[in-house]
Amino acid sequence: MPARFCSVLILIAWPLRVGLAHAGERTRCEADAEVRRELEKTLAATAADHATVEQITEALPALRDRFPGDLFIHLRYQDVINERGVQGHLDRMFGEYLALKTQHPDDPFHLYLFGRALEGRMTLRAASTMEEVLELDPGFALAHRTLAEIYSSARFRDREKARTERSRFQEACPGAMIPVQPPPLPRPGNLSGVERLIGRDDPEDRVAELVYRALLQDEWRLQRIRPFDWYTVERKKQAAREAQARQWKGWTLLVRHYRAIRQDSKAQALLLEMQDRFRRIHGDREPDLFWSAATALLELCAEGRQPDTAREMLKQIEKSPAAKTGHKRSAQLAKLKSRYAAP
Amino acid sequence: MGAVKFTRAACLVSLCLLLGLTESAQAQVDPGPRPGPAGAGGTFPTLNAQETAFFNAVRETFQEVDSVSGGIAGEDGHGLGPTFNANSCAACHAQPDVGGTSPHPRLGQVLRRNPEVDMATLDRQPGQAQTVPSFVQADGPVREARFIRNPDGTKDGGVHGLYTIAGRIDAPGCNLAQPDFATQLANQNVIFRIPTPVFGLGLIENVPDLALQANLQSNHALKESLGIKGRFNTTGNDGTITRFGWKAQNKSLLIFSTEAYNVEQGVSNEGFPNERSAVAGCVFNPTPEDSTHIVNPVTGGDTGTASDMSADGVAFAAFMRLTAPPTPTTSTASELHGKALFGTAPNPGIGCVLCHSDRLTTASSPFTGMGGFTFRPFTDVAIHNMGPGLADFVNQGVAGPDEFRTAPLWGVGQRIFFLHDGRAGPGNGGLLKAILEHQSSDPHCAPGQQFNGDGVACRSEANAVIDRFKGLSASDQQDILNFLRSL
Repeated sequence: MPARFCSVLILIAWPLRVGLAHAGERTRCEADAEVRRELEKTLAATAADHATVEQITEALPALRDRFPGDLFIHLRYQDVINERGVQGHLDRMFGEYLALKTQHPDDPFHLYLFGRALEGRMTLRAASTMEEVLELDPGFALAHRTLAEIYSSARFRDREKARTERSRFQEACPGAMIPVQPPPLPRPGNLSGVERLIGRDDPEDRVAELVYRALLQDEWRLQRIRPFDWYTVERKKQAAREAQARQWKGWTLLVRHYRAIRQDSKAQALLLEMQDRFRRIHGDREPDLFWSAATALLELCAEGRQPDTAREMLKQIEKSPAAKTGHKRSAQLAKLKSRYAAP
Repeated sequence: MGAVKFTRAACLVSLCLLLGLTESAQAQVDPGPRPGPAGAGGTFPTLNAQETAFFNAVRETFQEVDSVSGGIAGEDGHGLGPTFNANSCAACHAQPDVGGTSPHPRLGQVLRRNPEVDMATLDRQPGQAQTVPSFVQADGPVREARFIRNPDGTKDGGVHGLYTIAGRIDAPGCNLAQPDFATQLANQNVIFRIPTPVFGLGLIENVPDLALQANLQSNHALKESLGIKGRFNTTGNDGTITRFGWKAQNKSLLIFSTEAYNVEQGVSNEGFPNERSAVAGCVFNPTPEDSTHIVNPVTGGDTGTASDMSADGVAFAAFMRLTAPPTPTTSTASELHGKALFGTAPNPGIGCVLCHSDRLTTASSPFTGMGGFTFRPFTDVAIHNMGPGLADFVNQGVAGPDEFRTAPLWGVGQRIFFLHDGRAGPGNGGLLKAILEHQSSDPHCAPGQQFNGDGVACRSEANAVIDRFKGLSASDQQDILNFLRSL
């Protein structure tokens, strides 16, 4: 009889305990000073540029163990992955918070974390999850903050809702900040310093290093764009086109550099690779990319004393839809013809 | 003194010439890949205009080049890695035309070096090139590597990609290391497979099971007297015959293509939707990476042609399904005599044809002219015990460690490398070596013993036929080689 009574007590007390453990979260607007200090310490230790997202996110679970149920450690963990992770990290995070939500049904704390894990990838669903959180717990101030972030973003802008959510959050948390979403993008790859190094014979091959670093930077920028629905499909395509145009420019600079330092075999191998890639580009789908690639190849062939190939390239350019896309192109084409057409 | 020297030298040269001439007059040699136009690679000739247009579109897709996320100019397919062997179907399925098999830099129609060599450096950051495994050479066959056993001794048998995307400019942060092939080779734990040509496979896909079973049963007494058995690999799902791959492990062209897309290029897809080696920092795309296009990628609308809207895996399967079979050129007296010796359906010759069946017929087909079509694939699609010489110790479906599907010989005239691991090629006798490698026995087996301790047959089912081949005159053997090079 006492054992049964004890079981009943546990059954009643357990959900109450779980609820109480997170009850403080709804009124908290920022991390405790101690948690903030520990977070800063942990993140500083892994803040170096070369630190991988794995190194950073592996350090955070130890903190979560020390401060069980602290919302702000979870939020920092999510932020790190959103800012530095690739699709695999994002998927893993989604899985983790889905599992937690499933283990804790109707718990606004875990529902909020799950919804926030969706922010930026399934943002409209994140917003509706925030509404569910507020239905369960109208005092969950951070849900208002997340909604304010979403409705203030360029892609999901709703001025009215943004104003309402902002004022509700600031009512609960006077003076607290609302982050701007999406976070700023990394800068595009920079090739501006490469040209002045062309022709300098350098055992460390700094030109190649700089070109590839620029291309890597572009890919990293694309990684901050591709997985997120903060950006429209057209914006994503545009970013990819810009990066690809820089790739053609980078490869062109490298061929010129290898020619200038008399590493002809390297120059020729790269030129052949560029020609091979060019064959796979459909001029009708991406006229800008076709134009960048074709003109780069034309100039390289002409500079490399391959007049026949250059003339062939010129013919392809003339016939392409890219050549018929405005006055600027017509002028450029006329200039190319005067320079490279057969006498 | 000078005269003496000249006489000795002249003697030596004469002797060499004589020996050389004698050798060439007597020894049979593989004439090498047949020159001239590619005898394969086009559309099945009777398809109608719509089907042909579809074929031409999916042939383009078969040549698509993948990068990790499609962001690299000229490599706009996406999904490469985390592990991979190559970045395009057509890179490896190249000779003598798109859909074929390993190219060679100096032989054949396409004159291209092994594309796997270039994958070590393509799109890599400076200093981040990966190692070309020792078994991959510029003038060697394209190879995939499988490990026989796991480190704990259990059976593996799976493909281990030669490369990873770590160090590529489109995989920032990925740190997945290449497998340690050197150690695995030292432990004799690696086997190889080369790509099979895909020409005409729509016909093989559409032969009814009953027709295959009847074909295997034909000439039963003769087969039995020669030690030929054979059986079919089957699917555990519906019990029907599986047909594609070196061990006939794949049921359909769709499974064949989607499996290869995942294994060889690392592209997850609707057939095989999960990434292999999915280390979190090396997964850059939502999965499956290749799927049916709900939005037309060309127009941005929600309608389009079948090829616009199909997933790549479906397009690859369609390409294989609608390609024409290779066109043989058998015409010279030597080739025709070789054909008779090889055997034809009514006259089994020395017996090659008993497994390399020269006649199968399709069921009715939705594609114009492909139904009720009799064709000459030179395979029975059955798996046979090939003995310890060819055993690779990998089980797939019901196929055991030394069981292989009878390799279709159509198009063999323009192939460069032979047998499942590409061990026979231009450097070591080519087709002749491939024939002789069919024969092997385990010297440790007791008389009457069927299988050794590894589950490998004590004797290859081809032993008696190869004895017959060896018993032919050199010129008869040459006629068979010439016939094969006409296919």
